[in-house]
Amino acid sequence: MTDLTITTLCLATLAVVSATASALAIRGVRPDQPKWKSYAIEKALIAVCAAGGVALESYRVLYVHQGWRVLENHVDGLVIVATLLSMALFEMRRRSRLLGLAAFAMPAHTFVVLWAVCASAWTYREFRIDSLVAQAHRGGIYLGTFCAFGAASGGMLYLFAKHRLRTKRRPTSQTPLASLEAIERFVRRLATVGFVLITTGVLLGVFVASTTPTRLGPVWWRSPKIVLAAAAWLTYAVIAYGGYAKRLRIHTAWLSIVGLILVLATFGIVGADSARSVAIRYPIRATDPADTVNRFLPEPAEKKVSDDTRRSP
Amino acid sequence: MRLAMLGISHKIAAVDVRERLALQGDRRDRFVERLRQAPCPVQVVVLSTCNRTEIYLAQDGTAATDEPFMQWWAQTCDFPLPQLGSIIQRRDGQAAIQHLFRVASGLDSMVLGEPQILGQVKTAYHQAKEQKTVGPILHRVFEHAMAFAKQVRTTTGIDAGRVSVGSIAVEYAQQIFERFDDKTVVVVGAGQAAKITLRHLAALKPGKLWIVNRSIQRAKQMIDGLGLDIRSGGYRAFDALDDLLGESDIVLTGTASPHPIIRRERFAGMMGKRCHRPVYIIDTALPRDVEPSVGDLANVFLYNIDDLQGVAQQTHDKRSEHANTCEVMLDGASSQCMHELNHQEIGHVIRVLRQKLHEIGDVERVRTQHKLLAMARSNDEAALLNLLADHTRRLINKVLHLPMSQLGHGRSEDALASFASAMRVLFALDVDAPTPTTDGANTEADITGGTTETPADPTVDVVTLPPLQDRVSPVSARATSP
Repeated sequence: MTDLTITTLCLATLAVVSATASALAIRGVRPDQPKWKSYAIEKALIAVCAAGGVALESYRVLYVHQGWRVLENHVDGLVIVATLLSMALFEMRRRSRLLGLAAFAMPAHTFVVLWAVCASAWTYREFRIDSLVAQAHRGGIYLGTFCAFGAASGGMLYLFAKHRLRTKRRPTSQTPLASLEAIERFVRRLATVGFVLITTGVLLGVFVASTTPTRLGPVWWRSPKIVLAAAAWLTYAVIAYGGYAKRLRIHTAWLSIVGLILVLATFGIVGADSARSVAIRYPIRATDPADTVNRFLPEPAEKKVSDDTRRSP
Repeated sequence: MRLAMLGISHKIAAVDVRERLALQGDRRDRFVERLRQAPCPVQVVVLSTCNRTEIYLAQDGTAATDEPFMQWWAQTCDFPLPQLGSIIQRRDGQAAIQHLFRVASGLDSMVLGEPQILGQVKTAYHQAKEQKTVGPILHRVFEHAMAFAKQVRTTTGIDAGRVSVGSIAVEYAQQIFERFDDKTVVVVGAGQAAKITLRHLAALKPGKLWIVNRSIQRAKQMIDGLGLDIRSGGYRAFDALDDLLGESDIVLTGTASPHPIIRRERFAGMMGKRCHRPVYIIDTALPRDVEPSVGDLANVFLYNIDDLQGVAQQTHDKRSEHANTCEVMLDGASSQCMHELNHQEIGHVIRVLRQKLHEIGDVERVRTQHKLLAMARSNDEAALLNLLADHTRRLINKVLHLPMSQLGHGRSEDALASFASAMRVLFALDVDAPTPTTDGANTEADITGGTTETPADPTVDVVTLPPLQDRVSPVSARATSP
């Protein structure tokens, strides 16, 4: 069994646990649901997700990569995002902060884990450029993505809580939600942190693109990836500092969701572009699983993955 | 064992009667002191709240009556005894247990499912424990009642939601704002509904409280009546309303104005000035003080009195649905409690019976021992056997004397039949079997403990004892053994 297969299986297991926790969390915010054991089960499942994520990332860093770099490929990045999400959620559950957030953040966690399963099983590819600046760029982007997921989950919770208040339904004590004020502050803070991280990531990415020959070509600044990344950056700038403008305050929740969609679209563009280029450069010729893995690897990384494959039992 | 509840509640007594019959503080202590002078020991828990005063009693034996307790209660509260007798509510046995369970879980409360009553039941029980008036019976009943109340609340959600307009308004405020020490509350008008709602809002300790009213004097009266201390904020006339609305986070209106005083155009302009911060408006006035379209503005949360009362009604309806489930649970739980009490009672009775038989056996053993020592030198075997037979006969007569004599004293036919039935079961008697006629062993006189010359008691004729060897129960056999 290869390292990649182990990673995929672990991620699939995490996805099942995460999906169960999501279902319980969504059930929890529905009106007139009795307080029963699902709350404790949900908390335990979130803890399992967090612990599982930490264990998986530790396995990848210590056993697969055997080095200090935690971001060798897209799967690592997604595992980090999912783990941070579940850890943050567990801490909030433990301290009874932002009640109801899990109903939106856990589905987001499930989405990230499923995305990682896909990335691990079908579009696995090591990052090409290997430098400290590139690592910092990726770190900024993935941590910014974590903030984007958190802020968008908060935004959705805000809209849900606002809708519940507008419909003037019985405020059921069984399904308490955080106050609008608390949710708004959470979204704004997370968006501010995300803005700083994405700014760092984008600036370092621009530096890498302008100094190193990449697939984006000489007019990299007009590529869809850069345009979408700039749009996402601008959205978070508006959320972070738009509170000072009068009308923008009303739309914080929606903007946080739009920001996440832009971030995801940027990832989508990058993923599609790299998958296309891999398919052109390495067409399928063999049915050997090792060859299938190698097809998605860039040239400099080929030797390393071969080592990994040899090391696997 | 006798378990009973005597009490009055909001269902049968007006507030003035409940006030006079309340057993709280000194009155409660005096009542408990009177109980201590009771001739037979009694376990008591007094539950006295604003809506009910109930006395839960447990006594050994079934013959005890309520009269002394009612008399002491009437004396303690200086209340006419006949009047108390006419309004008092009585519950016995399982009905008393069911009543307590219903009270503790809030099913008998004025506001269905209200949670405070459980705390009051706990307090009453702990006070009784401190005063050492709780025994094993009431201990078990109250522990069961409190456990049942908790179970009902966690499984059915009968206490979920709020049922008063003021508390619902506060609950909405807590869903909009996280903290209140930096918030400004503006109260417009001094109507009764606004006053009630303000009492609840003031408990949130808002940063500033402004009262806007045509009559500052009346506004001050309202605040004094509520016992509020306005440290930050104050009283303003109506011309300052626009400035205050721009500053406010929570607006509470309750004027008698025939037209809306806050219109959409007026408020929309203010939202820009306040950077679209959320504002929570509670309109308790009729006719309404705030135009309904104000609620359509972004970040404005407008609730009128109908909205709040609608929520209260929804909560009440929901609780009523849960109440049916609770009643089903209550039957099972109270039966279980009664069952345990009966087992506890039987255990106690068996212990006492065993002790009593041992005492009888000891007396007879000592008597026979003396006779044996006197005969020891004679070696008269026949006398020894006679002594042994005499010892056994006396022992059986003594053991059976009390129950047999109880059968004859003015018992009704039903009671006699039930006694006969119980004895058949308890001693495994076969009434169809031929009656043994051993010498004097089962004659009428032997049963009553007298001699053969004693005239037979007609009430004892129904009892026919089997041969001696079958009649010696393990308990009495052990009691007579040296």
